[in-house]
This record gives sequence, structure tokens and C-alpha cells, in this order.
Amino acid sequence: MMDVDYELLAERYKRPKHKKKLKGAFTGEASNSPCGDNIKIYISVGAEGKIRDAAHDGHSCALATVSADMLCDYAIGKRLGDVCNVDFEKMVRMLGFTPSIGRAGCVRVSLDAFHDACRTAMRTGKRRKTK
Amino acid sequence: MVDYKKDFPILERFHYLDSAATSLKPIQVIEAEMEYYKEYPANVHRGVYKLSERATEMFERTRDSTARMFGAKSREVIFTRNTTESLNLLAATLGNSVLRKGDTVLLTAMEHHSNIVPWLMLKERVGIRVEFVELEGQSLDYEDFKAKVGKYNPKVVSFMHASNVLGTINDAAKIIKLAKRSGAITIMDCAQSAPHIKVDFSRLGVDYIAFSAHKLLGPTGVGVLIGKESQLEELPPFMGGGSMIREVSRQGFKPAELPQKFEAGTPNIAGVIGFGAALDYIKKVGFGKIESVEKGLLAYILKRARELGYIKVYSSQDVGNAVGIFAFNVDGVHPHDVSALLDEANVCIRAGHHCAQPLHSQLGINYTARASLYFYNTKEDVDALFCGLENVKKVFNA
Ligand SMILES: Cc1ncc(COP(=O)(O)O)c(C=O)c1O
Repeated sequence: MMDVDYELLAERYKRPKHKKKLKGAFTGEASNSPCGDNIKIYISVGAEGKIRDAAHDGHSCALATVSADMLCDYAIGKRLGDVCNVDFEKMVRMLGFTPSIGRAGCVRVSLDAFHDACRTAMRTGKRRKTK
Repeated sequence: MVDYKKDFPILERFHYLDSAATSLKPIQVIEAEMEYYKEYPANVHRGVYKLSERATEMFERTRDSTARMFGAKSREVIFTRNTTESLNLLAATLGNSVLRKGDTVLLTAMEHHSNIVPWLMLKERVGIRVEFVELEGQSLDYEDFKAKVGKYNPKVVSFMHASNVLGTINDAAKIIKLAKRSGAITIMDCAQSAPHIKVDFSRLGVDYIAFSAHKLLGPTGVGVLIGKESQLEELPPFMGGGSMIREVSRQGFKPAELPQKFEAGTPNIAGVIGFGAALDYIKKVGFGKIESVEKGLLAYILKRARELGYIKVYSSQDVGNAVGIFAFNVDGVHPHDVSALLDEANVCIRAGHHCAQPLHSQLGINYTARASLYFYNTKEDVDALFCGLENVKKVFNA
């Protein structure tokens, strides 16, 4: 297991690539109750079912913020159905280290928000198709 | 100077600054628990053989020590699991007896969730009203207190003696006097005061106090509820089962005398015996010493914090009237990251809302970092904290 590189984490935390609000996008949200963190994920899907853009916003620590940022990176350009199942293990590979038990929640809050946004997108997509 | 560190071997490896969450346990406490399991591991109150009698004696000895230290009678001391259970016991039993729909329970804006949620549950179940006294800076607004007692005529006033985030020690005597104007039952959450300052139950004239052994050098899983005998007699039992009854038939039961009436089932015997050793230790150190060490260190922390431009302090800076709590944020850095980075230097602090979300909302923030002290901490621990904070600043360029 690699140690956390705080310098790298701090760098991306200060300059996230996708921290913004996306108007008209599908949204998902999650909170990490012990620390009061809250993350919102935005996913905007193109006509052909591909994710056109993704973003995140909220109050969160470096680990949660960077996780959200990496999830957005990962999702953009892929099909919704292909990214919805991203799990903790995949997230750990993206981060390059396994968070300690006390900090796993920081990663999970972003994953939860991401999954929530995916579900919203899927649900709405289906409704549109059956119309 | 007494070297307490030898009784807390963990302090050789860690700068433990999270005693408000749980205190460390001296080896004397650990040994007392172990001795019970090794030498006389019998159930209490039930046997007439030597092992059980020794267990009962040791268990009851802790009750007597607790009564002596907090100025109560032994039959007024009830063992629970923690402060949370003590407060839930009160909310549930008051909700089953004196509290009616529309009655007001008055709390304060600084309460821990354990003195909010049980009342909110009662609000759902019985329809009571839950009101809060506002803050004035890091203290309670006593004018608001007076006004709300007048306006709502509360049946219960439940408040924390010392805040786990602000460190503020509330003016218990004044609050109890105000509460009595409406004839309210008074409850004091002493989770953060009992470990640090002398709390005299009978002198204060409060009806109930609650605290946890684990913040007072004792084991986890032991809580205390002290209540005035006359009040406890009036309350219906909380949980039913063994130990809490005098007699049971198919038709009904008669509850036991105090304090067994509120102690259903086999208690945490080892934990209570360990807590007895913790009280012995506290007595040996003395509250005078505990206060002077903590106040000295808190003053030093605040001085160091003032020297750094990037630290915002949320806890009380009125050292004379606070327990050893330093709640702060580093500009631009999430407290989780502060705590995780400090951990690299084996400095243990807590980050989050510290089970006081309504307080944080009131302060207009989501979370804080919190370092908290006990008498076994030293200047070196504080220096390690600030050395770590300088590193946080460097890494995050805050
Ligand atoms: C003021 C206050 N009240 C209640 C509690 C709850 O204590 P316990 O978790 O031991 O029940 C705490 C502990 O953090 C506290 O600080």
C-alpha cells in the first residue's frame, strides 16, 4: 500500500479541474455525516448517451474533493452505462493509495454522490425512452 | 513535577489531544478490570458465594466512590452505558410520566446531539415542544434564558455544564435558579465538566446529572446518572428485566428499590470496577491540579494560535471559565485534512461537527478541528500540534 501523498492531494484540491456547477445537468448528492461534508455531482449526457460533461461542488476535504474530481475525469466521454458501476476498488486504483478506515468515508461520499447522479440520469433517460 | 506519562504508556508514542472524545486509561484502571476477569469473574447481586460477593462489593464500592466524589447518596447513583443512555433514560421516563403534549423542554444552542435527539424523539412521540436558548459569543445568552423560561414555562431544562466544542463552562447555579422559577426539572449534561472540574450534585441543587466514565479515565461502556432520590422515586422504570424488580408474577411486577430500579440486566461489571480505579486516580491527582495544568496549556495554545495569522479560533478564549478545548480552523484547509496531516506526526485531534451540528450551523460553519486536553498532556504535546499546523500550512499553502 502506498502512503498518501499530501502534496499531490493538496495540489489537486487547490486546483480541481471540474469543480463548478453544471446547469441543466443530472445531479446527485451525498453527505458524510460524522464530518458534515456534502458533495454534489453533476452529469450532463449527450443525445447519443455519452457523458458530455461532469462536475462537482460542495463542502469537502481534500480526499473527497479529489475523489470527485477524478470521478468526473473518468466519466467524461464514456457512456453512462459504462461508468455507473465504478466502485471503491476502482476508486482506490485511481487515487493510487488505500485510504485508512477513518478516511474511507471521504472517498465514499464522492462515490455515493456520483452513483446518485448516475441513478437520476438513468431513471430520467428510461422515462424519456418509454414516452 | 509528577510524571503521569508513566501510567499512560501510549503517551510515549502519541501526542494524544482528543480527550474530550475519550480520555486515556491509566494502567491502574486496566489492571483493575483484568483482575476482575482473572480473580473473581462472577455476576453481582445474585450469589452468596465468595466470588460473587467480592464482585458485588467491588461494584458497589464504585457506586460509593462516585457518590462521594459528586456529592450524592449512593442510592442516587445509577450506572448506565454512557451519557447518551443516561439522557435517553430521562427523556423516555419523563415522556412516560410527567411530560404531556404541548409541554416545553428548554435546551441550549450548544448542546451535544445526545441532549437534543432524545427530546426530539419525544417531540415526535408525545408532542412536546423543544426550545433552545441562544448564544452570546461563546457563552449562553442568559437574558434569553430568562426570557424563554418566562415565555414557555418549561417543564424540563436540560443543559450542558461545559461545551465539547466551545469549552465554555456554563453558569450552572444561575441556570438552575432561573429554571426553578418555572418549577422545571433540571438536567445537567456533565460529560465535559465531570472529568475536569469539581461538580457537587447536592450543592448545586440540580435534579439530575449525567456523564460517561470513559471521559474520566474509566473504561468505555459505563455511564452515570445521578438523580435526586425524590425525583428518581417518582420516575417509572426505564428498561424491564432482571435486577430491576422486587417481584414478578404472570400479572405484573413490582420494581426494585433505588438504584436497582434503573439497572435492568447484568451490568458492565468489569467496567464499573475499572471506573472505581479511575476515580481513585482522579482523587489522587485532584481537581485543583487538573484545572491548573489544563488552564496553563490552554493559555499557551491560544497564545501560539494568535501568533499564526491563518488560524481561526472558535472555542472560548476566556481561559478562566473554560475546560481545555481548542476548536479552530486553518484558513482554506478542511479540518479532516488538518487532522490527517497531524496524524503523520502522531498528533491526535478530531475533525468534524463533534456531534453538535446545530451549534456549528449557528456559528455559520460546517465543521471544526478540535484539540482537547487532559492533565496528562504537556507543553511538548502542544508544541507538536503547532509544528504539525505549520506543516499543514506549508503543504496546503493556506
Ligand atoms: C457534552 C457531551 N455530552 C454527551 C456526550 C456523549 O457521551 P457518550 O458518547 O459517552 O454517551 C459527549 C461526548 O462526546 C459530550 O461531549
